[in-house]
Amino acid sequence: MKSVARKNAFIAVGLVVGLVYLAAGQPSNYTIFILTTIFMYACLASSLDLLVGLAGRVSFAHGAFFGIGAYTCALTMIHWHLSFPVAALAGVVATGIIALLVGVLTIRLEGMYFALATTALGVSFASVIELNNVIGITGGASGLAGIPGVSYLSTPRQFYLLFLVLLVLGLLVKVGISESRIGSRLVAQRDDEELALTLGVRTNRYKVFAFVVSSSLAGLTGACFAVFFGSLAPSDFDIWSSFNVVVWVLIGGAGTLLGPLLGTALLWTVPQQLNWNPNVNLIIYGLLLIVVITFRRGGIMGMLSGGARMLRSYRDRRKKPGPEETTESQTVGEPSLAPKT
Amino acid sequence: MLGVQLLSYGLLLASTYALIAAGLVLVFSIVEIPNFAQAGIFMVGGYVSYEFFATAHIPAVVSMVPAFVVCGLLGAVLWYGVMRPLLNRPRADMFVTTFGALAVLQSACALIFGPESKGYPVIGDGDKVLAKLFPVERLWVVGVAIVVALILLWLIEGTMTGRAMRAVAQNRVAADAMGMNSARIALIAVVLASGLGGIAGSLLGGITGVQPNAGADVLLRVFAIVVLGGMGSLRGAIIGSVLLGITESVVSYYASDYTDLCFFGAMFVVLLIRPQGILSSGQAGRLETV
Repeated sequence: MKSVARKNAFIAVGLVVGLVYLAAGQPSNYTIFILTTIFMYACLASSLDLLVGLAGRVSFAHGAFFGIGAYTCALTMIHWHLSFPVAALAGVVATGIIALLVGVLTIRLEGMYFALATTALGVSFASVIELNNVIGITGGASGLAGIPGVSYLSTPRQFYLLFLVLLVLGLLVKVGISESRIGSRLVAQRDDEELALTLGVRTNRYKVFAFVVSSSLAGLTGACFAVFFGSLAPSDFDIWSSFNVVVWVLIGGAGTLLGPLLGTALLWTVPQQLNWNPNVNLIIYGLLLIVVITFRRGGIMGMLSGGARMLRSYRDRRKKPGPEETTESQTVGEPSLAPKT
Repeated sequence: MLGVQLLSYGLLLASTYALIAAGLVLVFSIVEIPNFAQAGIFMVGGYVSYEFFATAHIPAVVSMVPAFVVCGLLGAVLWYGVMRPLLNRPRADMFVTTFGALAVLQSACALIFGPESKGYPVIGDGDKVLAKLFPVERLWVVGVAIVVALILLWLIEGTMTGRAMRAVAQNRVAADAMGMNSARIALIAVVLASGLGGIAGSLLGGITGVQPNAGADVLLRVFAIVVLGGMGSLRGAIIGSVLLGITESVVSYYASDYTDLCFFGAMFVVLLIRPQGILSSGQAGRLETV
């Protein structure tokens, strides 16, 4: 399909730009760090968008899956001395298994109850880490330090490459799924589940699939996070971390390729660069979220494409001064009852 | 005695949770919104009482009245700003916006009051203990909760407004068709629910101190209670509050790090086997009291 090629080309271009910038742009270590973190969070947001945008189910558990991947990778590296790739794989598998469990259990829950259940999960993660029984292993509230370094992942540039590749991977998976049969079925059940069911779409298995893939990607990102930061704390993975990701996705534009990337880039970088008080940051996030959901549910991407549509329709109307046929550039609505002049 | 101590603490928790849960049930049955912002309102109630104490040495039992008013007004603002515009949207939308409202409220309070816990007394002489068993202030909280619950029950079962609420809860469109103003009734419900949350925050803050994330901690537990009891059932909310309040008291004594998990485990289990709640009659869409 044309759009698959176009999207993949777009991702490839992004990859090339990222590489070229690193090689020739002479960025400072600080800039590299910022970009690396953006890549990481953008990957997290994109993975959530698989669930929110494509499958239409909001989850507040993403921070928890991020954490499961991170802690699994870290703990296996520390206690079982696994190498990073294997440990990261372990992280993905662990996250995937838990996501499968949760996904299967919550299949029948309608959107709001599903969101509620994932919120419970998102809040519980920190509690589990801090259980007295496991503090010895997980480090409890004070965190887990001493994650062994990886020889080929020690300079900022190497991490930049790692997360760039991770992001590209995530985007490719996303495009692969959204443009496939699975993707069209997910979209179908998102738009009208009853109708999809009557058409023979087995919505349940696709919902679980989206949930597992989305969460596993988050787990993989978490594993990379563990080696990137070298230490973990449950406060990195609390409910507000899940909230952040949801905000980035929804404000950037759920269901689009660029949306979560834009949302993350904008909403993480600006407060970070301006050094906002984290409370102020959260206030702005909250307000933005309310405004966006109420008025422009498509987020930034929604506004941009809506603007593009408006421009196109304006241009089309300029070209045809006579009676107009219904072109696709007109807003979809009820057919006009006025007689055509 | 340990048993009595645990019981009194459990009842204290149950009372607070019941007040908030009643508010959640009220709002949910009428507009089908799980109001996450209730946590923020609860917290604001605590801060109102704190201010009253800090400036005029007024204890919580008195300042809970202005807390009720302020939080009620806040609820109205929330209704017009965050809830009403989204009435016809998928319910997950509203879930997210009320979450956003909670973020705003929590951070605003953190900015204004700082992150430390602020204490103030519930009653004038906060250390009196009745017969060496029940701290008097806990008795006050339980007492207020019982009185409020009774008033609420009377309101819903015995007055026209309450009847209107039950009607709107059952079928909003039909209620409108019969000439009721469902939007206004929803507003009343939200204001009332917020006021209840304010009272709860005011009282509990007096006992444990109020801090910005007081709301979020409590809210998930109350959500667990409401899910357990059934989101439209006041009876379920009250019974659930008592059950889980006492459970929390016991668990937090013996294995405090498992308290959160108890709640979420319970909630998760109920969501899986009987999302309408195991303590309610299970009839969808009803605002039921007894």
